[in-house]
Amino acid sequence: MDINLLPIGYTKLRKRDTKFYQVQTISIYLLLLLIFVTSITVALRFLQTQQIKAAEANLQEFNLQVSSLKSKEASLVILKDRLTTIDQISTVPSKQRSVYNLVNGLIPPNLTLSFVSVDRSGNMLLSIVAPNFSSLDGLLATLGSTQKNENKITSTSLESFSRSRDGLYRASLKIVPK
Amino acid sequence: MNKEALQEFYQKNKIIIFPVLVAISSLILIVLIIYPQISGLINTNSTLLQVKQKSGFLEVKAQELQSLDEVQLQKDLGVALNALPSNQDYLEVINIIQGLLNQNAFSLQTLQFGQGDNTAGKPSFIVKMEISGPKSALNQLLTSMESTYRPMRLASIETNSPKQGSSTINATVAVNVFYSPLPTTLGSVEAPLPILSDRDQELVTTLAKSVSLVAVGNVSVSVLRGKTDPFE
Repeated sequence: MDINLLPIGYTKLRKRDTKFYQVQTISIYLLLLLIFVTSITVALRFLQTQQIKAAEANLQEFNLQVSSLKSKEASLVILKDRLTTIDQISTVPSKQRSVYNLVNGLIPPNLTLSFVSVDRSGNMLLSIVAPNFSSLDGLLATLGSTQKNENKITSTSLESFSRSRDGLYRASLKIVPK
Repeated sequence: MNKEALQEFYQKNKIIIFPVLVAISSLILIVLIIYPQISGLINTNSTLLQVKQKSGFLEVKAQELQSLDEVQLQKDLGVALNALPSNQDYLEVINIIQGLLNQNAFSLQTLQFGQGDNTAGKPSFIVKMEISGPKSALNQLLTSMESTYRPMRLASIETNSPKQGSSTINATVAVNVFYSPLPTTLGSVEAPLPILSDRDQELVTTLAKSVSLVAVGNVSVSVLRGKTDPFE
């Protein structure tokens, strides 16, 4: 059997004190935790600053190294630029040479070319002397055939045609390449 | 209000005053220290990454530049600049054309220089020449012109035979000859280093061979230039 002889006021005071100590303990732990977090973040920030300084020093060093090799870099850049340009120009033959070589290869040996002209846009004019009409006709058929002209000719037109007293056929052709 | 009154007030309200003071201190710590530090950490971390990336890139670039053979590079550059000079270099063009005409048994009657027609979007000039030679070698001559080390492209051609059934041919040939001015700026330090591909290496080797062939050919041409001292 418990007999409480303590005054009621004292009991109230003790309860209040106990509650206060609990609140005080929690508050102190919270404060300590925050102080710990603060010190961690400050330490991390300090470490990061050191890392940045080291990285910037590295960057500066490599920057200087690259700058000291600037002439080598310039040579390489110019070399690459020249080679790319030369490659671009040299890879594809000119339209003019392509059409000239193609048509020259299609002319049969019994036909004579008296005049050939390929202008800057690649259009070709031919003056042909043929011993007979069939060879001229054969040439026109060849020039018009997509298989034989390698699909490089858009149109072939007969600009003029005549037969002279010596029995030779003279024709002027205009060839437009693709 | 004296000290005793303050103590009495605190004793009476300490259960509220203490946590409030701790909360205010915590807030001050969070607002003035923890938040700015964490925010700074996050922001600086991205800066650090950028600096490290840049540093890594420059390190690789410096290593690549150091590993380049300076002598070979200068030699290759010399070949490339010979093939595609920074200016018109008319004399070299005349030498090349003369050499090609000689190789194909053609003779040169006239030679004119003119404005280029901006083929391939590169600066160029026109060389127009009147030539005559064997009909059978004209195709080879045109092919040689377009495959010589100095980039040239046929612009126009006119041919006529002097006589019916003749084996010689007269031709007026115009070629676009290219050149390329040197770049005025070479980009920043951060610009990536160009890489010479196998195709580039192959091209340099071919050009070097062509240049040396023409250089050898030019020795015989230079013999025909006459006396070194015209007053002898």
